[in-house]
Amino acid sequence: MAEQDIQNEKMETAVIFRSEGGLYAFRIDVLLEIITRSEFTSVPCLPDCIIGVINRMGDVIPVIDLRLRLGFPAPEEYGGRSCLMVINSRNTVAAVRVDEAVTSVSLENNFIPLDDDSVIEGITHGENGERISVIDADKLLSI
Amino acid sequence: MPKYEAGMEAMLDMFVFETSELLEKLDEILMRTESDVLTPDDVGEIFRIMHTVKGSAAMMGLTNMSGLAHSLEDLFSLIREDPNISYDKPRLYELLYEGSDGLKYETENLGDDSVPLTDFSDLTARCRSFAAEMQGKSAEVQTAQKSGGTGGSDYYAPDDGEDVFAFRVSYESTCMMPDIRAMVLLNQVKAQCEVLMTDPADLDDDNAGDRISANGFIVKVKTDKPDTIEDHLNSGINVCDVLRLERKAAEAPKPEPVQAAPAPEQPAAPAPSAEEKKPAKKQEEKGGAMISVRIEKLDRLMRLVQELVISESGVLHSSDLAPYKTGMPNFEKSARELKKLTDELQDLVMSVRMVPISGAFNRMNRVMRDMNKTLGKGVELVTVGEDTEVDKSVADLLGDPLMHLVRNAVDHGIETPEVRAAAGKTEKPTVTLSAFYEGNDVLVTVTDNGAGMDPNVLLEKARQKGILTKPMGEYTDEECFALIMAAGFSTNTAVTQYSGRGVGMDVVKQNLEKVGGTLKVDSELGKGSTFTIRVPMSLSISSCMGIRLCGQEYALPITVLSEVFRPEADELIVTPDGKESVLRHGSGKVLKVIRLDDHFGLTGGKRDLTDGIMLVCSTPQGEAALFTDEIVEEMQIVIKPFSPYLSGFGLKERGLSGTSVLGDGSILLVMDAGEIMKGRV
Repeated sequence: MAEQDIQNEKMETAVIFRSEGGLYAFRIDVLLEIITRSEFTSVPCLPDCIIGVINRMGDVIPVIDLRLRLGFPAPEEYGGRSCLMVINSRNTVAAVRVDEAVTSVSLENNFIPLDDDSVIEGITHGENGERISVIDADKLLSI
Repeated sequence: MPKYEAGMEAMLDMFVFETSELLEKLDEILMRTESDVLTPDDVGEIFRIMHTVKGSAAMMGLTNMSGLAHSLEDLFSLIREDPNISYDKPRLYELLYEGSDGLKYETENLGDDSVPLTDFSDLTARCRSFAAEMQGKSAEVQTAQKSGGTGGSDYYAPDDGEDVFAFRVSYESTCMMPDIRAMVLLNQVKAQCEVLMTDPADLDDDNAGDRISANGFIVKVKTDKPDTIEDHLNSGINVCDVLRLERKAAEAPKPEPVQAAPAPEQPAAPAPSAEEKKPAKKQEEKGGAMISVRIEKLDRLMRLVQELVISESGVLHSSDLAPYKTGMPNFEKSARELKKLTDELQDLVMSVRMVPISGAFNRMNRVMRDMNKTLGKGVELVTVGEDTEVDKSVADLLGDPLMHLVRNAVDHGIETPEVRAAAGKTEKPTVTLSAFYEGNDVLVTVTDNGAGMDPNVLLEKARQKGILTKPMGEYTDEECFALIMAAGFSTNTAVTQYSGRGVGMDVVKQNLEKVGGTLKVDSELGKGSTFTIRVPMSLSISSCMGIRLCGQEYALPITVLSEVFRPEADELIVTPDGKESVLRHGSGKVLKVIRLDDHFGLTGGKRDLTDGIMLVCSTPQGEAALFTDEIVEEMQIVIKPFSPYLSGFGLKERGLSGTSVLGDGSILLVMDAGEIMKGRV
């Protein structure tokens, strides 16, 4: 496979996760890793959706709660499958707290861009036709 | 357009570093020997320093610097060869100082294209004529032997093909170190074609330079583009002529061409300086061999060690081990060993960054000497505690403040000899530099036995300048002295070369405050003044008090903390509008209480002031008592500022200065008492 194709495939794959019952996805090129532990250090004086910071290999990075960021109410309690998706957008590294990481999906021939200024850059569909919202990491971090 | 030779960018840092270090060493020797005997060892050392500077400057294509260094080297080569040669020592030292300053200035400004190259030809000529005087000859500038000549030998072998060409590269007669030039040129040519042979074969040879000056530099190459190579050779620095050598008749006797030395794998250019440096280094450090390391590498090493400690703790305290908690004596033993090793490693990494403060102090000798020359006050510099070790970054940072303070002390503090005599002062005018530890801080003092300062004069002066902030009567002596650190304050009526522009002290103070340092002034009229700098020993490690607030731990730098206590009910004062204060019976002070949970908008903490702890903080803004739930323990931590993303949310302004990752990987937030108290005390 040519390098260009690999690059395209990378761009065209997204990792799906669940938050607030809905399905969302990050493009795989912004995703650095998924951390399964979920404890963090709270930091006062930050916007509500930045719930704290974690230590990622010696760097202190912010933790953004996706539910709060998207304007949903705060969860009573996160389940045991809750995890942190570490993303990197324009050299800002942040962890995004979600309910559960699910699977990945190819966006090739399966992506409807939304042209409004939303955090959701477009819509794709899963194997069983379920709707998945693809998140624009850059806009997500602009708080 | 850089000033140095193209292709040498990569060497610039190294060149600047090495040359600065050598020149500093030179200054040190000069200072030591000026009023003392110049031993043969010192002469040799100076000779080597100049030789190395000459060589590396020539390599960089800096003919002005190498020329000057060459002329200075020549002086010492004469002294070295004939220890009994007579010369005018003060004049020699003037030349050396001037040369050292010139070279230093040039080195510092190499990277700055807006500063033109300095023409050292006048100074170089003076050195030459001084050398000539020493030799008892007329001051005639020697001219190098004309290069060129048609050299009889044939450089072609009979079996050389049509694509083999030999060139004779002649250098200008004024060219310094043609061997180095040739080596640089050779490396460039090597990149383009195969070099079969050169004459001289070994450019590292001591006589190579002379041979090139006399016969030119012969390069024999195998190429199908002889014109390109010829052009390239022509473009070399200081090359005045390139001649393509014709083949001689076949029956010509075979010459003895020296076979090309096996081509060095690496560019050979840096080699001479590295080799010449070794003996100099060896003399410098009798304790053992030294190497220089880039500070970024040490930073990375320190970071790695921290990571290692965190991982270690993760492994040793893994929850997977819980079921075996008691049955693992061997594991426990190994774990203890490992812990001991990592602790030692951590201490070592910290100590590697520590350097004695003597380097910063020694530079002041030079400042003092120059000022004594111009001001004629004959001030003696005394240093105490120069073995005191501080982090390298702290040592670098102290250079500028110390220079300001020493200049101020000599210029403003010490009186002229006449005034001193009139005042009946018999002791020698002295400026004392001293350094010592106090807790985690280093205190550096600059003390003079000069005129001292009159608080009333300072006050009056400040009034005239309009920088008073409260009625004159309310100023204590200490506050009066602090006025000299206010912007736009200078007491010397005449602006001198060294001070008097009134920008010094406030800049010094600000620069120190940026890194958590302070500057204090004390003075006694007629006896002298003392300036005390207090800086953290290391900028990377801070001593902090761990405190608990609303169920989470935070850290507060101990430098601002003056007292910690649990208040009694009768010490608390609440005004009708709800403002809370605490009265300290001991000092009689009434301190404003700032509840940290309210400040940070947290809930779940202790509300009754008698249940929690008061942290008394003194900052430049004033004093206040910060109220928290409890204190945990004192700790040594590495404080990192927040990432740019997080800083964007105004955390610093709210009183959080950064974070610290602890040994177990957890994060502590570090508070900044100054910001918390801002506008409230």
